[in-house]
Amino acid sequence: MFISSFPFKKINSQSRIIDNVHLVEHNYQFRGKSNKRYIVVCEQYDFNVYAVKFYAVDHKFCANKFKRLTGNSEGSRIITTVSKIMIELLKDNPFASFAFVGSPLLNEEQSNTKRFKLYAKVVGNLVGPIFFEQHFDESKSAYILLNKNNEDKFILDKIQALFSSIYDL
Amino acid sequence: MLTSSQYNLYENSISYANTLAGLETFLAGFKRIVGKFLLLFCYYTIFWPFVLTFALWLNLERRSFQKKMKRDFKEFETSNDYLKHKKVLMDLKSLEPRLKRISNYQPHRLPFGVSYTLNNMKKMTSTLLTVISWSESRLSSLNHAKFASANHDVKFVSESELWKNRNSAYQYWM
Repeated sequence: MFISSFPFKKINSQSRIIDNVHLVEHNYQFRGKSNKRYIVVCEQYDFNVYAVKFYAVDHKFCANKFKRLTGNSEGSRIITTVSKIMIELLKDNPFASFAFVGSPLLNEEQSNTKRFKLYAKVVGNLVGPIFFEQHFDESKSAYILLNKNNEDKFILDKIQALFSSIYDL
Repeated sequence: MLTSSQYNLYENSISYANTLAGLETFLAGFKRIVGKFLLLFCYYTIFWPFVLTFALWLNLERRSFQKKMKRDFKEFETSNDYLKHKKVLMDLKSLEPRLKRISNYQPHRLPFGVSYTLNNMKKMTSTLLTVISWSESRLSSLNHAKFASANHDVKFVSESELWKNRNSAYQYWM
């Protein structure tokens, strides 16, 4: 588990402004074993922090595209692929920190979601304590990997303030 | 990857700890079987050249090892450094009770040759216990958050928690 991934390719990078916050979206895509296409969006914000999201293209136009399940039983390979993309971003930007939220299922509360538990377990097992400091907020099902190359000791509060202004968590 | 000097430091500390712990077990067992007086008799008739040579070797090894210790304890550069460090620390910790028994020896009541040897074993043991304590303190920075948060809902995951919950079958990605 968490060894093999799907081949992925970068689609593009585009600048956007959401609620007066400037960000760059790095978009990637890959195909699962059933040839289903997935999109990975890595939103790069200030402080070199990337919010990582992914969804199946089938759900692209759904309002809750991040909450849906595909039911294809390829979750571990999808997570491995997303991680490989994060590693590629880290090669480009050695100061990159990563944040992600375990979106609730359609009938689930926002706190301590099933996805959050899974991501926390995977990250705890596969990301060592040398390069990243790991923090989480169970009430929001949010996890953050803070790059230790960063010298700003108050970066965590700054990132929280930034995300609070954008996301309704 | 670990630099070769660091690798030697770890390998040497494990070798010395194994040697001393093995010797402690041998001496305690031999003493229990033959008794203290017969043990001393065997020492003066058969073993003393070997034991004194061992004591001199241990003395020289300890001095060179202490110099290396000061020089070779560095920050972790990769996750492999960390994994290797954890493995060595766990091996050393498993030998720690036996090393502590050596540091409780009272060699000053024994004849010169024996006390010299036991003193050198004690000094080497003390050096190895220092390696264990340095190795533990090297991890302490990973157990304290560098980036603090005013929000109490945000919790830091320390190195010890990560290690406790980790499945060692997985390799670190980063």
